[in-house]
Amino acid sequence: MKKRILADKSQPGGCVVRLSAPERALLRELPRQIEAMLATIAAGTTGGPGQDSSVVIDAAAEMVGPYGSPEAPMTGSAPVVPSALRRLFPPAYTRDDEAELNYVHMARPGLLEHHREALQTLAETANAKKLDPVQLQRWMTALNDVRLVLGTALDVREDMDAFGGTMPVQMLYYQYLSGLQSELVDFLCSGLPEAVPGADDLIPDDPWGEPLGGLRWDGTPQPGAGP
Amino acid sequence: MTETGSSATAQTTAPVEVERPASDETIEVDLPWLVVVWNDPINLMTYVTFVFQKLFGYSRARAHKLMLDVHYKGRAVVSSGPKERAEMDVNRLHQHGLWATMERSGT
Repeated sequence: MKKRILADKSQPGGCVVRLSAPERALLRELPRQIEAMLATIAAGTTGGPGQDSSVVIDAAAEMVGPYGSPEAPMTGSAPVVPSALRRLFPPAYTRDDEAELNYVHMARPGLLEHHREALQTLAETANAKKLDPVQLQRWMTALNDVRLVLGTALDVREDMDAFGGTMPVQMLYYQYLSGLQSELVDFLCSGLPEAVPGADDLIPDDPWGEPLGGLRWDGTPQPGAGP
Repeated sequence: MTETGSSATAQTTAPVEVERPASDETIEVDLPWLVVVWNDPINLMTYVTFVFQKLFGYSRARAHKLMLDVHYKGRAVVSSGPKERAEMDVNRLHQHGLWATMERSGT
């Protein structure tokens, strides 16, 4: 397939973007919708600490629905997946509620801002012919964010090869974004610096030993995991 | 994780700065907190490898191996350090959309 992300000779680390008009329209619209949901959360959490942000996230998702396209219900069930946005805000501590609450208060505003900035940049530069390194980085973040939200709402699994019956339009978007992100990863990988000397030696041993059997962080089985 | 798209390309771009150089001098003998990345079905395998290289300055080979641990074992320990440092690493991984938690070693 023809490359869509190419090195830009005129700016180091930048790239030339070759996309069709419908692709660009999608790259404008999807991040915009998710950013709108995040804006609701931001507005809700500025009231001060002590507020349970995850409730706000659920409320936001319920209000807006996954992607605001009610004509494309997913897998026949209710299209609203309240936890779709949660994937953007994973827990740091799973066995210490107090520490987790502190982490949320400390990290979430910045995390929220980080995601919003990336999504805004993608929406605003969806028509750009060229991206500078900062924009490129934000595209990567935003594409991943949109995929995380879409994938969570679609309940994407590793062992899911094909959708039976009609494929929801969100799945097409998801697959399209996966392909584009993959190209971006390849491009950015080629620009990574050499490994930091000695860094590999600092990778800790895994004290828990061999496989947990492909469990998720919360201890539930992971479908399709394991060799 | 998901496998998608083309293989690596040979384009040249300017070096991207590694965000945190390794600082071996400050590493303690017994490290109290471990940063764990958990498998998820959405993040691309190549992306996860890229993030490990970018954030921690690991070699491509080791970053790739960590990614495979995440994929096949369900999780990998990717860094360790004092609580504040581990929290910072977790936060940077969260910024990149990875499913990271921290655990006290020995528990």
